[in-house]
Amino acid sequence: MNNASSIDFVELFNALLKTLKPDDDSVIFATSLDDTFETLKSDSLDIMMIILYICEAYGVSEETARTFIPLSIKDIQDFILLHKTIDPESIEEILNNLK
Amino acid sequence: MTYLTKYSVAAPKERKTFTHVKYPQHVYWFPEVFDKIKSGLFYIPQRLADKVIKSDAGKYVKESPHHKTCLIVAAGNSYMGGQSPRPENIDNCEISYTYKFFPLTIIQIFAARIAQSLGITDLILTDSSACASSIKVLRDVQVMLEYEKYDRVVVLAVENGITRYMLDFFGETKTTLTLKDEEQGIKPSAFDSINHGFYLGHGAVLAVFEKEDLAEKNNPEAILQTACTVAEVSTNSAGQTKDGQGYQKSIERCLNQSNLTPNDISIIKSHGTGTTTNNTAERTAILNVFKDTKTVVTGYKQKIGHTLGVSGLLETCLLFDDLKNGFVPGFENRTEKDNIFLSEPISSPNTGSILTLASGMGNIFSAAIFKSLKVG
Repeated sequence: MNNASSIDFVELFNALLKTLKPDDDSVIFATSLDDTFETLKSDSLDIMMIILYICEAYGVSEETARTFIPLSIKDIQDFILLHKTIDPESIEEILNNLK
Repeated sequence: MTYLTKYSVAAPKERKTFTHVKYPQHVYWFPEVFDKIKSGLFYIPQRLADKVIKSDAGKYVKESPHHKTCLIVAAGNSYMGGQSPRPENIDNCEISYTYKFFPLTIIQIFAARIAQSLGITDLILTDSSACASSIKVLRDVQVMLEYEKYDRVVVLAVENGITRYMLDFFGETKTTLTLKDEEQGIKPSAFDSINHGFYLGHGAVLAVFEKEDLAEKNNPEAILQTACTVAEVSTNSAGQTKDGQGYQKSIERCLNQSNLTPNDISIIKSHGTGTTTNNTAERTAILNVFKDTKTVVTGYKQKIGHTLGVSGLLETCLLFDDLKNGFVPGFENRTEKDNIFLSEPISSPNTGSILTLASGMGNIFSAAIFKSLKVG
């Protein structure tokens, strides 16, 4: 598997956050890969859910996903690029394929 | 005084037949809340709640956050959080799923997330008093506003009863109408000698209660005059006694608390499941208290399904809507005619209060009295 992704992980993170909390005005969206969950004031449950969403989209097993504790969006990107077994082409494809 | 300032309801109108379950039966549902659920990534109670949080009542709370506010989530039956409703051997069933996120199945955590989205940070409470839940919490609403000095209490009642467990349980206890019953010509109804029972449903209601000074600026819908919850003397933890003592006790306590008499009640919004036991118990209690009055009795479970813990408050709000439109509805498919239990709609009465009743498995009976301020 190619160790790269055409998908912008900041955009992916924000799209999944919006899916998760469609009507929550208090949500702070990310602007950079270096944004930490602490600065974004993210709920720990949101992060856990987003990791599972992304891992499912990239074919990373749930078992592996649950061992991962990221601090920033870059951590998520690095982890996914290392463990991915699927390469989705777009954020739209990821959102559509979540069953 | 406690005012109901705003409310929004989500009550399904679409009927669906489930055949891949132990007791095939109809339900009333929102099919879209089951979209993509098989991954376990999507959370049905949240999707039901979103329907009312996005509505006018939700916007009202979000746009005026500078008041001391309490959120109460009336969650009905505590397992609503999502123990796996995945059916064995019926993976093709549309309601097969297992949630991946255990913490979200804890109702208080679910409630805290709802509070976040509504901007409520003063107090977050939850309630799991089975099918009485959303009426039972109305006493808490009064206490919070009148004694604890909150400005506003927001009640979110939400529950998803459309799971394999619930369909099996209600089918097995012969409370929901099954396809087998319907093949014999039985239709959902209540307080009737021919038709009886209900379909399961799910839904949500968001209701905003406020103190007088705040509510009066905001064109309130109704006054909550009183509410109470009681138990009956019973050796049956799940059922009701046929003499209706639980219902009667809750009605009499409500009347006493509010200094009203039976003649002051123009409409009773019954629990009205239409089961044999509830028909007997609730009818007996109502007739014992209201037999010499002009009070009429209505109910909604046959129109929208039994939304369990949500049903009491949701159905009361539907009655407020109907009153604004100038009528009180009759029970669906009721074949008998009398002056108390309505089989046909009547015009909205111009005076009088509304008594709303709810009962839950586990020996709990709740009642509340409202005065609608917007009768059409």
